[in-house]
Amino acid sequence: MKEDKDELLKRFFSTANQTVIADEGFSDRVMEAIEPAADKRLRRISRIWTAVCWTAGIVILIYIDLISNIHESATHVFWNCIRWMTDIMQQFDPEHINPLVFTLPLVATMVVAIWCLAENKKLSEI
Amino acid sequence: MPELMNDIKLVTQVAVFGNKRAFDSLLRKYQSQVRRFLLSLTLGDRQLADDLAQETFIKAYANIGKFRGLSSFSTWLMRIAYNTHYDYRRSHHQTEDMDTPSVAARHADNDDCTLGMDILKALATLKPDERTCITLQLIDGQPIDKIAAITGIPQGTVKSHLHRGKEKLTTYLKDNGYERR
Repeated sequence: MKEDKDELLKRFFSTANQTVIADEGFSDRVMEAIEPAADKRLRRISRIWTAVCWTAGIVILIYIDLISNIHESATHVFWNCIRWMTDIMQQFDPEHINPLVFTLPLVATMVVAIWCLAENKKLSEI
Repeated sequence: MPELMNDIKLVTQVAVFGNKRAFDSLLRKYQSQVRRFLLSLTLGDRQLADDLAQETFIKAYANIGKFRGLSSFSTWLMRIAYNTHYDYRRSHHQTEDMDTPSVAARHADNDDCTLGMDILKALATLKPDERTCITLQLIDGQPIDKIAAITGIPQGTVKSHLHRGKEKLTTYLKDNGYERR
Protein backbone atom coordinates (compact mmCIF):
# COMPACT_ATOMS: atom_id res chain seq x y z
CA MET A 1 0.00 0.00 0.00
CA LYS A 2 2.81 2.38 0.99
CA GLU A 3 4.73 1.38 -2.15
CA ASP A 4 1.67 2.17 -4.27
CA LYS A 5 1.38 5.57 -2.66
CA ASP A 6 5.07 6.34 -3.13
CA GLU A 7 4.95 5.11 -6.71
CA LEU A 8 1.93 7.30 -7.45
CA LEU A 9 3.63 10.38 -5.99
CA LYS A 10 6.90 9.60 -7.73
CA ARG A 11 5.07 9.30 -11.05
CA PHE A 12 3.13 12.51 -10.40
CA PHE A 13 6.23 14.56 -9.59
CA SER A 14 8.48 12.96 -12.22
CA THR A 15 8.03 15.82 -14.69
CA ALA A 16 8.69 18.49 -12.05
CA ASN A 17 11.97 17.09 -10.81
CA GLN A 18 13.36 17.04 -14.34
CA THR A 19 12.32 20.61 -15.01
CA VAL A 20 15.26 22.88 -15.74
CA ILE A 21 14.34 26.54 -15.60
CA ALA A 22 15.99 28.43 -18.46
CA ASP A 23 18.18 31.32 -17.34
CA GLU A 24 16.60 33.90 -19.69
CA GLY A 25 18.79 36.74 -18.42
CA PHE A 26 18.17 36.02 -14.74
CA SER A 27 21.88 35.59 -13.93
CA ASP A 28 22.77 38.84 -15.69
CA ARG A 29 20.09 40.71 -13.73
CA VAL A 30 21.41 39.29 -10.45
CA MET A 31 25.00 40.23 -11.34
CA GLU A 32 23.87 43.77 -12.15
CA ALA A 33 22.06 44.00 -8.81
CA ILE A 34 25.04 42.59 -6.93
CA GLU A 35 27.40 45.43 -7.91
CA PRO A 36 25.64 48.27 -6.05
CA ALA A 37 24.78 46.03 -3.10
CA ALA A 38 28.42 45.02 -2.67
CA ASP A 39 29.64 48.61 -3.14
CA LYS A 40 27.16 49.85 -0.54
CA ARG A 41 28.36 47.24 1.93
CA LEU A 42 32.02 48.09 1.30
CA ARG A 43 31.32 51.82 1.69
CA ARG A 44 29.56 51.18 4.99
CA ILE A 45 32.44 49.02 6.30
CA SER A 46 34.98 51.61 5.13
CA ARG A 47 33.05 54.44 6.85
CA ILE A 48 32.82 52.50 10.12
CA TRP A 49 36.53 51.61 9.94
CA THR A 50 37.53 55.24 9.31
CA ALA A 51 35.40 56.43 12.23
CA VAL A 52 36.91 53.80 14.54
CA CYS A 53 40.47 54.76 13.52
CA TRP A 54 39.83 58.48 14.01
CA THR A 55 38.26 57.92 17.41
CA ALA A 56 41.08 55.61 18.52
CA GLY A 57 43.70 58.10 17.28
CA ILE A 58 42.12 61.05 19.09
CA VAL A 59 41.71 59.06 22.33
CA ILE A 60 45.36 57.94 22.21
CA LEU A 61 46.55 61.49 21.50
CA ILE A 62 44.62 62.91 24.42
CA TYR A 63 45.48 60.05 26.74
CA ILE A 64 49.25 60.20 26.43
CA ASP A 65 49.40 63.97 25.87
CA LEU A 66 51.21 63.58 22.60
CA ILE A 67 50.01 66.80 21.00
CA SER A 68 52.61 69.05 22.64
CA ASN A 69 55.39 66.49 21.96
CA ILE A 70 54.34 66.11 18.34
CA HIS A 71 54.25 69.88 17.89
CA GLU A 72 57.79 70.19 19.26
CA SER A 73 59.13 67.28 17.14
CA ALA A 74 57.38 68.51 14.01
CA THR A 75 58.87 72.01 14.40
CA HIS A 76 62.29 70.45 14.90
CA VAL A 77 61.94 68.19 11.83
CA PHE A 78 60.58 71.06 9.71
CA TRP A 79 63.51 73.38 10.42
CA ASN A 80 66.00 70.52 9.92
CA CYS A 81 64.48 69.82 6.52
CA ILE A 82 64.68 73.47 5.52
CA ARG A 83 68.32 73.57 6.60
CA TRP A 84 69.07 70.33 4.76
CA MET A 85 67.42 71.57 1.56
CA THR A 86 69.29 74.87 1.73
CA ASP A 87 72.58 72.97 2.06
CA ILE A 88 71.74 70.79 -0.92
CA MET A 89 70.78 73.79 -3.04
CA GLN A 90 74.06 75.44 -2.21
CA GLN A 91 76.04 72.34 -3.20
CA PHE A 92 73.96 71.58 -6.28
CA ASP A 93 76.02 71.34 -9.45
CA PRO A 94 74.09 69.87 -12.41
CA GLU A 95 77.23 69.12 -14.42
CA HIS A 96 78.45 66.57 -11.90
CA ILE A 97 75.19 64.62 -11.56
CA ASN A 98 74.74 61.30 -13.38
CA PRO A 99 71.70 61.53 -15.75
CA LEU A 100 70.62 58.08 -14.54
CA VAL A 101 69.64 59.62 -11.21
CA PHE A 102 66.72 61.29 -13.02
CA THR A 103 66.11 58.77 -15.80
CA LEU A 104 65.83 55.60 -13.71
CA PRO A 105 63.09 56.81 -11.30
CA LEU A 106 61.20 58.26 -14.28
CA VAL A 107 61.33 54.94 -16.17
CA ALA A 108 60.42 52.97 -13.02
CA THR A 109 57.40 55.25 -12.38
CA MET A 110 56.23 54.83 -15.98
CA VAL A 111 56.57 51.01 -15.81
CA VAL A 112 54.57 50.87 -12.56
CA ALA A 113 51.89 53.19 -13.99
CA ILE A 114 51.51 51.05 -17.14
CA TRP A 115 51.32 47.88 -15.02
CA CYS A 116 48.61 49.45 -12.79
CA LEU A 117 46.59 50.48 -15.85
CA ALA A 118 46.85 46.95 -17.31
CA GLU A 119 45.74 45.38 -13.99
CA ASN A 120 42.78 47.79 -13.74
CA LYS A 121 41.74 46.92 -17.28
CA LYS A 122 41.96 43.19 -16.46
CA LEU A 123 39.84 43.66 -13.31
CA SER A 124 37.22 45.69 -15.13
CA GLU A 125 36.89 42.91 -17.71
CA ILE A 126 36.08 40.28 -15.05
CA MET B 1 32.94 14.79 -4.97
CA PRO B 2 34.83 16.64 -7.75
CA GLU B 3 31.76 18.85 -8.13
CA LEU B 4 31.86 19.65 -4.41
CA MET B 5 35.55 20.54 -4.67
CA ASN B 6 34.82 22.71 -7.68
CA ASP B 7 32.16 24.58 -5.70
CA ILE B 8 34.56 25.12 -2.80
CA LYS B 9 37.20 26.40 -5.22
CA LEU B 10 34.71 28.87 -6.70
CA VAL B 11 33.48 29.96 -3.26
CA THR B 12 37.09 30.58 -2.18
CA GLN B 13 37.68 32.67 -5.29
CA VAL B 14 34.65 34.80 -4.43
CA ALA B 15 35.32 35.08 -0.68
CA VAL B 16 39.07 35.74 -0.84
CA PHE B 17 39.60 37.56 -4.12
CA GLY B 18 36.10 38.96 -4.70
CA ASN B 19 36.12 37.21 -8.07
CA LYS B 20 32.74 38.05 -9.63
CA ARG B 21 33.25 35.64 -12.53
CA ALA B 22 33.46 32.76 -10.04
CA PHE B 23 30.19 33.88 -8.44
CA ASP B 24 28.63 34.14 -11.89
CA SER B 25 29.55 30.45 -12.46
CA LEU B 26 27.90 29.44 -9.16
CA LEU B 27 24.87 31.56 -10.00
CA ARG B 28 24.39 29.97 -13.43
CA LYS B 29 24.88 26.50 -11.96
CA TYR B 30 22.28 26.86 -9.18
CA GLN B 31 19.76 29.36 -10.58
CA SER B 32 17.44 26.66 -11.87
CA GLN B 33 17.40 24.69 -8.59
CA VAL B 34 16.77 27.80 -6.45
CA ARG B 35 14.13 29.26 -8.77
CA ARG B 36 12.32 25.92 -9.09
CA PHE B 37 12.25 25.57 -5.29
CA LEU B 38 10.89 29.10 -4.82
CA LEU B 39 8.44 28.69 -7.70
CA SER B 40 7.04 25.70 -5.88
CA LEU B 41 6.87 27.53 -2.51
CA THR B 42 5.13 30.53 -4.09
CA LEU B 43 2.72 28.19 -5.90
CA GLY B 44 3.77 29.26 -9.37
CA ASP B 45 4.12 33.02 -8.90
CA ARG B 46 7.01 33.42 -11.33
CA GLN B 47 7.64 37.11 -10.64
CA LEU B 48 7.72 36.66 -6.87
CA ALA B 49 9.85 33.51 -7.15
CA ASP B 50 12.41 35.33 -9.31
CA ASP B 51 12.48 38.35 -6.96
CA LEU B 52 13.09 36.06 -3.99
CA ALA B 53 15.71 34.10 -5.94
CA GLN B 54 17.50 37.35 -6.78
CA GLU B 55 17.43 38.35 -3.11
CA THR B 56 18.76 34.88 -2.23
CA PHE B 57 21.78 35.22 -4.51
CA ILE B 58 22.51 38.78 -3.35
CA LYS B 59 22.46 37.59 0.27
CA ALA B 60 24.68 34.64 -0.67
CA TYR B 61 27.19 36.99 -2.31
CA ALA B 62 27.19 39.40 0.62
CA ASN B 63 27.63 36.62 3.19
CA ILE B 64 29.81 34.19 1.27
CA GLY B 65 32.62 34.73 3.77
CA LYS B 66 30.40 33.11 6.40
CA PHE B 67 30.16 29.85 4.43
CA ARG B 68 32.24 27.39 6.45
CA GLY B 69 31.88 24.36 4.19
CA LEU B 70 30.19 22.30 6.91
CA SER B 71 27.44 21.53 4.42
CA SER B 72 27.54 21.62 0.63
CA PHE B 73 27.21 25.00 -1.08
CA SER B 74 23.84 24.00 -2.55
CA THR B 75 22.46 23.17 0.93
CA TRP B 76 23.72 26.52 2.24
CA LEU B 77 22.16 28.32 -0.74
CA MET B 78 18.84 26.51 -0.37
CA ARG B 79 18.78 27.45 3.31
CA ILE B 80 19.15 31.11 2.36
CA ALA B 81 16.35 30.66 -0.21
CA TYR B 82 14.11 29.03 2.41
CA ASN B 83 14.80 31.81 4.94
CA THR B 84 14.23 34.51 2.32
CA HIS B 85 10.84 33.02 1.48
CA TYR B 86 10.03 32.56 5.17
CA ASP B 87 10.85 36.23 5.91
CA TYR B 88 8.79 37.34 2.92
CA ARG B 89 5.79 35.29 4.08
CA ARG B 90 6.07 36.64 7.62
CA SER B 91 6.45 40.27 6.55
CA HIS B 92 3.58 40.11 4.06
CA HIS B 93 1.29 38.07 6.34
CA GLN B 94 0.58 35.72 3.48
CA THR B 95 0.42 32.57 5.54
CA GLU B 96 -3.34 32.43 5.26
CA ASP B 97 -3.36 33.27 1.56
CA MET B 98 -0.81 30.62 0.72
CA ASP B 99 -2.88 28.05 2.52
CA THR B 100 -5.97 28.87 0.55
CA PRO B 101 -6.28 26.53 -2.42
CA SER B 102 -8.38 28.98 -4.43
CA VAL B 103 -5.63 31.60 -4.31
CA ALA B 104 -3.03 29.00 -5.14
CA ALA B 105 -5.09 27.75 -8.03
CA ARG B 106 -5.37 31.35 -9.29
CA HIS B 107 -1.56 31.59 -9.25
CA ALA B 108 -1.32 28.30 -11.04
CA ASP B 109 -3.82 29.32 -13.68
CA ASN B 110 -2.46 32.77 -14.36
CA ASP B 111 1.25 32.91 -13.76
CA ASP B 112 3.44 30.00 -14.61
CA CYS B 113 3.22 26.52 -15.98
CA THR B 114 6.86 25.56 -15.58
CA LEU B 115 6.11 23.09 -12.82
CA GLY B 116 2.77 22.05 -14.23
CA MET B 117 -0.59 23.34 -13.10
CA ASP B 118 -1.60 19.97 -11.67
CA ILE B 119 1.45 19.88 -9.44
CA LEU B 120 0.91 23.46 -8.23
CA LYS B 121 -2.74 22.74 -7.46
CA ALA B 122 -1.74 19.62 -5.56
CA LEU B 123 0.93 21.52 -3.61
CA ALA B 124 -1.66 24.17 -2.76
CA THR B 125 -3.53 21.62 -0.65
CA LEU B 126 -0.55 21.44 1.75
CA LYS B 127 0.49 23.63 4.66
CA PRO B 128 3.66 25.73 4.04
CA ASP B 129 5.98 23.45 6.05
CA GLU B 130 4.55 20.33 4.42
CA ARG B 131 4.89 21.95 1.01
CA THR B 132 8.52 22.83 1.70
CA CYS B 133 9.42 19.30 2.82
CA ILE B 134 7.52 17.66 -0.04
CA THR B 135 9.10 20.01 -2.60
CA LEU B 136 12.57 19.32 -1.28
CA GLN B 137 12.07 15.56 -1.29
CA LEU B 138 9.90 14.85 -4.30
CA ILE B 139 10.95 17.66 -6.66
CA ASP B 140 14.48 18.39 -5.52
CA GLY B 141 15.38 14.84 -4.47
CA GLN B 142 16.91 15.85 -1.12
CA PRO B 143 17.33 13.27 1.67
CA ILE B 144 15.72 13.87 5.08
CA ASP B 145 18.92 15.07 6.79
CA LYS B 146 19.46 17.68 4.07
CA ILE B 147 15.83 18.83 4.33
CA ALA B 148 16.36 19.28 8.07
CA ALA B 149 19.58 21.23 7.41
CA ILE B 150 17.90 23.50 4.86
CA THR B 151 14.77 24.25 6.88
CA GLY B 152 16.23 24.07 10.39
CA ILE B 153 13.36 21.74 11.32
CA PRO B 154 14.28 18.63 13.38
CA GLN B 155 14.44 15.39 11.35
CA GLY B 156 11.51 13.84 13.26
CA THR B 157 9.30 16.82 12.42
CA VAL B 158 10.43 16.67 8.78
CA LYS B 159 9.32 13.02 8.66
CA SER B 160 5.93 13.99 10.14
CA HIS B 161 5.48 16.78 7.58
CA LEU B 162 6.41 14.39 4.78
CA HIS B 163 4.03 11.72 6.04
CA ARG B 164 1.09 14.14 6.39
CA GLY B 165 1.92 15.83 3.09
CA LYS B 166 2.04 12.54 1.22
CA GLU B 167 -1.27 11.45 2.76
CA LYS B 168 -2.94 14.67 1.62
CA LEU B 169 -1.40 14.47 -1.85
CA THR B 170 -2.43 10.84 -2.30
CA THR B 171 -5.99 11.67 -1.31
CA TYR B 172 -5.98 14.64 -3.70
CA LEU B 173 -4.61 12.55 -6.55
CA LYS B 174 -7.08 9.74 -5.94
CA ASP B 175 -9.98 12.21 -5.73
CA ASN B 176 -8.91 13.67 -9.05
CA GLY B 177 -8.56 10.37 -10.81
CA TYR B 178 -4.74 10.28 -11.08
CA GLU B 179 -4.56 6.74 -9.68
CA ARG B 180 -6.12 5.30 -12.82
CA ARG B 181 -3.79 7.11 -15.26
